[in-house]
Amino acid sequence: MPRRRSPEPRPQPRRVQQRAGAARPRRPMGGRSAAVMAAAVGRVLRLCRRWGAGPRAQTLRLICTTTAVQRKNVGASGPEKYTEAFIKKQIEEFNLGKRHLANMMGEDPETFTQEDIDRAIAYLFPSGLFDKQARPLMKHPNEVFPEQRKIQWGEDGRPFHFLFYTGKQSYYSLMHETYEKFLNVQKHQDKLTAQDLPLQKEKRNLAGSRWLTKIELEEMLLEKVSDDDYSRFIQLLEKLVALPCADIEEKYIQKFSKEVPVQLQKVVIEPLQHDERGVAFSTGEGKRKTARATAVVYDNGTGKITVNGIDILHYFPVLQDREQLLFPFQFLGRIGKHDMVCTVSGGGRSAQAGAIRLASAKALRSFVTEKEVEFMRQAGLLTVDPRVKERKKPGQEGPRRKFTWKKR
Amino acid sequence: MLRSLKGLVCHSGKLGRGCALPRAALSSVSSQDVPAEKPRAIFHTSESDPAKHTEQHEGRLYSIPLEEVKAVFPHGLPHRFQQQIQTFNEARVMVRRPALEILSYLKGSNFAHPAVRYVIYGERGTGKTMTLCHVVHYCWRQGWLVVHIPDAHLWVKNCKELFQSSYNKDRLDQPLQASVWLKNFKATNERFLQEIKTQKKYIWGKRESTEEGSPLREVVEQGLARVRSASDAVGVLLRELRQQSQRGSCRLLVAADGVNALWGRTTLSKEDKSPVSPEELTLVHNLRKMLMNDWSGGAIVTTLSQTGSLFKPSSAYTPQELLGKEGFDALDPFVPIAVPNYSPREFESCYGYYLERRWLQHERAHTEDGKAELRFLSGSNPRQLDRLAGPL
Repeated sequence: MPRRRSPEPRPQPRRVQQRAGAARPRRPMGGRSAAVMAAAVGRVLRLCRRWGAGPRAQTLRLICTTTAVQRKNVGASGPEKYTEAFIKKQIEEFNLGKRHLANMMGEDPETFTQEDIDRAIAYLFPSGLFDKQARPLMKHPNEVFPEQRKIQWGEDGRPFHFLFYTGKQSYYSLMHETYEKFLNVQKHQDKLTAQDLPLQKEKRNLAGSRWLTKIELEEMLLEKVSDDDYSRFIQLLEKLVALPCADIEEKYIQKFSKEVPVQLQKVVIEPLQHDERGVAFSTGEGKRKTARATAVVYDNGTGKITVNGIDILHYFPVLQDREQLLFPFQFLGRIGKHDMVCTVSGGGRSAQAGAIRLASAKALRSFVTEKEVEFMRQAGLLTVDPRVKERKKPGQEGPRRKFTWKKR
Repeated sequence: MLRSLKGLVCHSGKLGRGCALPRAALSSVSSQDVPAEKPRAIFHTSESDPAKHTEQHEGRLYSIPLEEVKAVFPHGLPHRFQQQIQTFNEARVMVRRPALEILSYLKGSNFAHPAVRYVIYGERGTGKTMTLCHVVHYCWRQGWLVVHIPDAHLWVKNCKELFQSSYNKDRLDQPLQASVWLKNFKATNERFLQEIKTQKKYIWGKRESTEEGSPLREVVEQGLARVRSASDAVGVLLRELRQQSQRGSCRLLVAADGVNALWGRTTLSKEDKSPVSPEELTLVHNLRKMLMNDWSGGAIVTTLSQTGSLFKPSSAYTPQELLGKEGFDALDPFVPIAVPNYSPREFESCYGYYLERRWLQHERAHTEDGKAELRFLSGSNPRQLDRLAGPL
């Protein structure tokens, strides 16, 4: 019988299953896990490599629970680490805990959603840790324990799948299935040709879709897929899709393709507004470092610019700042044609100038054709400058500067 | 985009330049918009006599012959303008509205009445000093006696030597500044110094004295020769001139730049480290007396200046702020003349002049866009425009 232990609640080391039928000598562990474990009882931890490579099978390893450490191909990293019964028990405990929590918070247990749980946990266990994933969390066990392949063999040690001994049973079975579909389609095609019926030729729109990536495929198959295997699979899929009658297997193919979201034009350019004098104007906001600025650009102007009620010549005595303000207008060739009234706060002299520049460029979009907007975007006039002051690190004098190095 | 490089040639601040080119054979007075073949004619005036400048000449540049420049302005012009004169080999002053205003007042004023005080004020770099120089040139041409103090701030700061005045124990002398000023004064007013005679006898020391009835030249010589008594010489000079102009023997123009220095604070200190207030300085004291409107037969034209002022914020430009209560009361009543930035026409004129003298070498500066950029970046401020055009 494979030895089982119910693991402690998190954080806890994951216990590794001993493979059925393998007789391994026990080894005392020596108080490594949580306090629950009695020190006297030697628990054996084993991380067996999949096919039991000799000397490596003796390594002991403790694995943390957080899913962040286990990245994408978790399902493929080895045989099951938790039994099905264990997962089921965790789910029961979770549900029970959910109802208790709802009770504690005074809410209805029936309609207690995951967001409510998160809020309740954040309230009951406030944490100042920066890393969100290090804070206390209570999630459904299916999210916490990554999906893993179940044990592939029965109690008698006989594997369930016929391709088990190939080593990559899911992959080969997938290839097998896909090729079966391929042959299906070819047969259908032959049948149609034999009946002299026109082959349906509806071009499948491949423009907005892509195949699964290798990582995604691994996640689907729950086992590791090498680059070569992956490329062979994709080639087979392409061949399948290229056949004229491939739409009969459309549903199967869709399992392996994903929609590529069209680059949405999220930016909506506002139309011009008119004030009481009938002059067209438009507003824009901009920021740079800590400075925030709003600009209102009026049409039919003389090139007069006012910042916080002060003339630009007095507010920005430095030429460089005025050049920054000039840039959007000069780029569009509209230097003397607009008036501008801006408000700005925060930041320093240069940051304020940059913020106003961004704000005025955004406001000018409404006055200008789409093509020119695209030119502005390429010129970098419409992009928020992401540079901010870098934080100081401990052990250093500044963000990059280290302390003076003294030889002794 | 204009890149500001550090230009090799400094340029004198041209607040406005008059171009009266004898080459332009057109009479600029009548022409409005001459076609492009002779573009320079639009900006230039051939009237080099300020007396004949009218509104038609507004925005145009007239030139002052270089000999006159040396005579009239040994010490009055802004530094950058002097450099520009050297570069371009001509002195061109722009005729602008504030100057025309003062000239019209001067032409129409009654000299039997007490002297009227005009205070030219405006923001930094708008052309106050140049306006003053324009007025000085006019008066000189008209044959007035010009007492031109280039910058009163020079008398209240950075003075290395302070001596106790022999005339009045409380006051302090500034021999260096006084002698420099006397030298320049002599250069300007040569012709008058011989004619005007002193009214009183002045004793300079144990052995030196000036008799009554001797020409003013001797007072000036005395001041220059004996530097110690230079400040007293200045005081004597000013007093004499006041009396003479009261009597009507000559017209007197007192042109003082940076007059707010006289009522502010000084950076000087006595030997015991106590600060000196302006009235303790002989020169300042005498100048203040000059600026009183208790004499007639002339005019007083003054300028406020924030640039050299001490202990005043840089945003201050109105008479109230710069003169302070004391100065304002002292100068009250006065005629305030505001000097604004360039009007569009004046800007065109100045830009055209730079182009014509090939000062703007950048290719973009020749285009309309370049002009618009210059206008934007300088804010039509004469000084800013000059500084911008420097490296181009």
